[in-house]
Amino acid sequence: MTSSVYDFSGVAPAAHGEESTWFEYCRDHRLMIQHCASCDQYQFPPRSICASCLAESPQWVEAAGTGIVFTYTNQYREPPGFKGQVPYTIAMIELEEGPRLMSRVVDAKHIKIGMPVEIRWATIAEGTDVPVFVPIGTDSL
Amino acid sequence: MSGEPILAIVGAAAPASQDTGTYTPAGLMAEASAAAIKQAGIEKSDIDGLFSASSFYYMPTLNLGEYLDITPRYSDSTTIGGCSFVAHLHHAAAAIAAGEMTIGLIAYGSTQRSIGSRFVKSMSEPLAYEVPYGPMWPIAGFALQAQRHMHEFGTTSEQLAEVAVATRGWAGLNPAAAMRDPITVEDVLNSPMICSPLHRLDCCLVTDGGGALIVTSPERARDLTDQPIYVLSGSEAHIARYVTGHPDFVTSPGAISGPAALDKAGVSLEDIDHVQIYDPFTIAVIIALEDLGFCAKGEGGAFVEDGKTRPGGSLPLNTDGGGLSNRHPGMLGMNLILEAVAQLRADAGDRQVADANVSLVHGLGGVYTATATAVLANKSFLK
Ligand SMILES: [Zn+2]
Repeated sequence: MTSSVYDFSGVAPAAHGEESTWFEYCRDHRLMIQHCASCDQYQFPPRSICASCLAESPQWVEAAGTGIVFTYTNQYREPPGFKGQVPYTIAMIELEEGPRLMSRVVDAKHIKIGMPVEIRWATIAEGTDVPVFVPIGTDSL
Repeated sequence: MSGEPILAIVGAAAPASQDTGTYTPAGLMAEASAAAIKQAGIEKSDIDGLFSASSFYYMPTLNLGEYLDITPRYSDSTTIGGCSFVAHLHHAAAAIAAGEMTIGLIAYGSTQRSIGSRFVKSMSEPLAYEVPYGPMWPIAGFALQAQRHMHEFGTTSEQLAEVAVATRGWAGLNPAAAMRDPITVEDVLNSPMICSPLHRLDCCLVTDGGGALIVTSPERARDLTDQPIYVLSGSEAHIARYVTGHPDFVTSPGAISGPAALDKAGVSLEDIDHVQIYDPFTIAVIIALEDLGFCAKGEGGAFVEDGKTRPGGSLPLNTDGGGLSNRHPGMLGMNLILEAVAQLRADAGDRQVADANVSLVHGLGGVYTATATAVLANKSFLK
């Protein structure tokens, strides 16, 4: 496992099948999405098939790790496992390749929809690293 | 102008003990069912179809059947979230039309407040890719939609708050509502932020509750009651299970089920006297008004701003006080139907809407990733 920049407590999911595959890539700090060779679509979350054309075994490809904040919320109530972290920002990140994923935005002076962000990695539990995002440029702390 | 009714509601009741913590969810379902059966003037043995959805039971029609000692020949535990019971209406109509059932019981019970969140595990199955970030469900999913709506259309926190204020106004006219003291827009904005932009008073209550409906064909209903409430149409849609899969965060599947239900019923929005919209959070009502066509996409905030959904306004909405101020047992769809029936029977007391003959019932499920819409009417409308 590569070292992480961020170290939050968090909740590791019960992952199975294609979910496990994705989290295993995360351990190597590779943010993976899928690409369908048949119809040239990217997709996330990963699936056993292409949700667009049903082609089997869509290819795992590494995302560039840049995107924009599509929407966000600052969460003020502390969920179990997140002691001392509220308020914190949960965001939907729209990746450069198109798909969106949920993540956290950290080290932001302020947060706004449309702001460009890039990937960092956080260790949320023993053996579980997940992507988080920081603003690119002057919006960053 | 209007089409033929597809179903008739001949019994509708809430469980008398819903606030006492006396019974299990099945106990509340059965208590409401017994009241609805009595109201309909039928025998328990007349019921040959059961419909239920639950956060407590994995196979809720089996619980319902055992508890009431009913052996149905048609059983439907379709679960698409809190709007499931609205969907059950047109499912029941289809079953009757197919000759698979003659009289159905649609029932629900919840003790989410009195016993806490001991739900079926699968009901809250989280998405592995969302879990690491700790979003609180369902509020975080609605907050993400609210923030995007504000960004795209300039919707304001004051406009969201107006939904809560108007709904509280209606609750003040409902002696059974949990929260009846008037509130102001400032009260909403000054209440603690939970998930921005949603404050505490943008959020629904957490209560126990339930209800039961006896449904049958419009023909059969004529033998049973002078005051059937007709279902003119129903429609459902869903677009995702998780908020991650939401296509745009500002348009709900109500944009599909709403127009489809109106079209099937052969009515237009001008015909609608009363609206019940599922209101877990204020933003849901604004998005619903747009998706149903009361205003254009993005104009929901401005649409409610003038107070037209308050008591005395031009669009009576959530007249029981809604999930925001009356009660929210977890799956509000049953309460939407019960209030529509009360209004159409002219049985709503101080909150009665004058000449309420057509009601639009619009439920949601998941993280606003499912919807079910039904058009209900009384005999006066069909004349
Ligand atoms: Zn494909």
